Amino acid sequence: MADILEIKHLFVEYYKRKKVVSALRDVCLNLKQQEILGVVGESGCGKSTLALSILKLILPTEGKITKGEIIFKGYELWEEDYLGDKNIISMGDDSLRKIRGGEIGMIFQDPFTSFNPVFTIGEQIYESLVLHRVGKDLNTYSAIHKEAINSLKRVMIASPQQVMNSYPHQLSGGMLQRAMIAMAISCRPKVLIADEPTTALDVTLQKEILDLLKKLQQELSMSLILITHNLAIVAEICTRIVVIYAGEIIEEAGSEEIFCRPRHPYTIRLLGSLPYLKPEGKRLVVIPGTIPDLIDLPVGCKFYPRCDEASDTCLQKINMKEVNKGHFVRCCRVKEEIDGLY
Amino acid sequence: MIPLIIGISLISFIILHLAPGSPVDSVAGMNIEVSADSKSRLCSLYGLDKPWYIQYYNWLKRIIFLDFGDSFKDGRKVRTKILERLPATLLLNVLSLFLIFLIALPIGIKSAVKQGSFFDKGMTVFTFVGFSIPTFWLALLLMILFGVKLGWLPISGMHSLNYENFSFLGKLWDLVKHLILPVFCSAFGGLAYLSRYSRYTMLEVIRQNYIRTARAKGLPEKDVIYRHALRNALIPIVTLLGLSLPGLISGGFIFETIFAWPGMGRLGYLAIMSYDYPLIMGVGIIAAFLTLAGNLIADFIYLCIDPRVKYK
Repeated sequence: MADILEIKHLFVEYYKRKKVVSALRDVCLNLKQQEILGVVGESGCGKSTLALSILKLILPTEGKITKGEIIFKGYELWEEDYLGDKNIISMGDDSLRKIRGGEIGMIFQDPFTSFNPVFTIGEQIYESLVLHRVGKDLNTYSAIHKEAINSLKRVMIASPQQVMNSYPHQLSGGMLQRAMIAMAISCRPKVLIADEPTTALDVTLQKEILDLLKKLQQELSMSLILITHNLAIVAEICTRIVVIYAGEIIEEAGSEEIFCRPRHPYTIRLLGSLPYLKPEGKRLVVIPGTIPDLIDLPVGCKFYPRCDEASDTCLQKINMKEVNKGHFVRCCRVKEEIDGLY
Repeated sequence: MIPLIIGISLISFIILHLAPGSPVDSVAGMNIEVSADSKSRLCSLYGLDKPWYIQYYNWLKRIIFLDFGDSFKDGRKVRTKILERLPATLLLNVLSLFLIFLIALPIGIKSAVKQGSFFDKGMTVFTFVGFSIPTFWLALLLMILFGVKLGWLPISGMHSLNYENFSFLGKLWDLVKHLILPVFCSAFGGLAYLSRYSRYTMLEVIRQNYIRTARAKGLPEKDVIYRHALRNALIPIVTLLGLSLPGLISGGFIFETIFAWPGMGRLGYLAIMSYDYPLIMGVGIIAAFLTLAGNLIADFIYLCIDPRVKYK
């Protein structure tokens, strides 16, 4: 499948008390049509920053994209004779607004605070529909209303009319997250970004929401970027996985490949620290240390201080290299390990 | 609300009677020609010879029928005296409140949206100055500048002496000229306060997740700010509006006195200076009632604009 979104050498910085926090460095990523891409990493590694950057949602008071390109290739107008800017970062406000919500939808972590408390769910869904579909395929109030109801039905809400008339505080977390998904898909985006969609929810709800996302991705033939720190989630539904550490992509491969043959020491340890069902007295394996300070980063490999296999070669600049077809790793020792381990 | 009003009036009544001096003294105290006999006659005339709780009981009995009693000073009905002062106070304070909200809200919003900009920094300095300047002092300075030095504006009262001779438009212009300084001065402090307050609430709101959601939907920035953010930022500001209601009618004691504005504040001030008990109680009870009513109204507005608040 062709790429629908391409991120090239993206650098993002935040500013905290005049200090520069380097949140993302040299992130290159491509999203294929109709694939489910998992972005995995621990808290503070830059996952959410990546999600926000794609829609240029980083507040100018907090930080900015300093370098890089984000090319969206799915816009109908662009297929043949579009000559304007396809780069989301440098695009004008009007085009950007058409992409936001219309072409790329987004679901946030905490459904309780992501809806505006003073408007009903219905009003907030209407707003999206009016922005992106009035003038195209919806032109009457009743058509908009019907479409909003349809969206809610798609996310398996049993009483859509009642949910439409409710204010966010009147609904449960699971219901709200469904409504959030309904709002995001109501304008038929080609890409859906889900930023930790189940983190704020009950564990029992997680699977329902994930199954729902997978179902919708297939029904509406969208591409899905699933951002999470939960490896079990990505294992279940993602086709391809990207592991981020301290603002850099350190490993990228197909889902099966990464779980069966992880190459980067960090990924190996991350998978090693998953809790087992039958612990039999074994202690949970942990990765010693914490992620490096993003204000004052170590040179060379960012995982170097926590890695047991580190050597002097890790202190130079390390590039991504392909170790298998479609499997990229940012580690200087990876070649040696291939022979040693496999 | 009724028990609260009774409580407030009881306490003010007690405090009033605890204060040294009495209405009789203020009329006759310094005059050696007034005999003790006529003093006590005056006392019983005002009903001051009875214990304070009897006096309070009598006052309460009358107030139920909205009878505020007669002023000690000139014997006119307190109600009439208050009613004739009301329009002037309302005019001054409604204008100044309107001005405060009209100017401070946009300043607050713009400062918050463009946080750290030149405009925001300038406004921060302005609010700092606005907070710090004693407004009565500012009022005096402005009177000197515009009233005395430049002679552009009248410095006191509500009408000029030859007001009656003006045409309708002339009367209006005369009133406007008299209003400028008092309105500006009484709005000044509130302006600084409200613009700061609305900047703060707006800043709080634009950091919320739902604002990000609104942007992620593709809403234009003006809808994000004026529809999604403002609606939420207005909720705490409504409380302020409710609380400023009593000020509308009870008036500013200081400004009305400085500018000799014939309003309620000046009436209350003069009443206190001359121990006019019924008048003090009348003005006080109206202020108390309005404070409570303001709170109640703010609660009702909450009910309308914040769906999370429900009347139980």
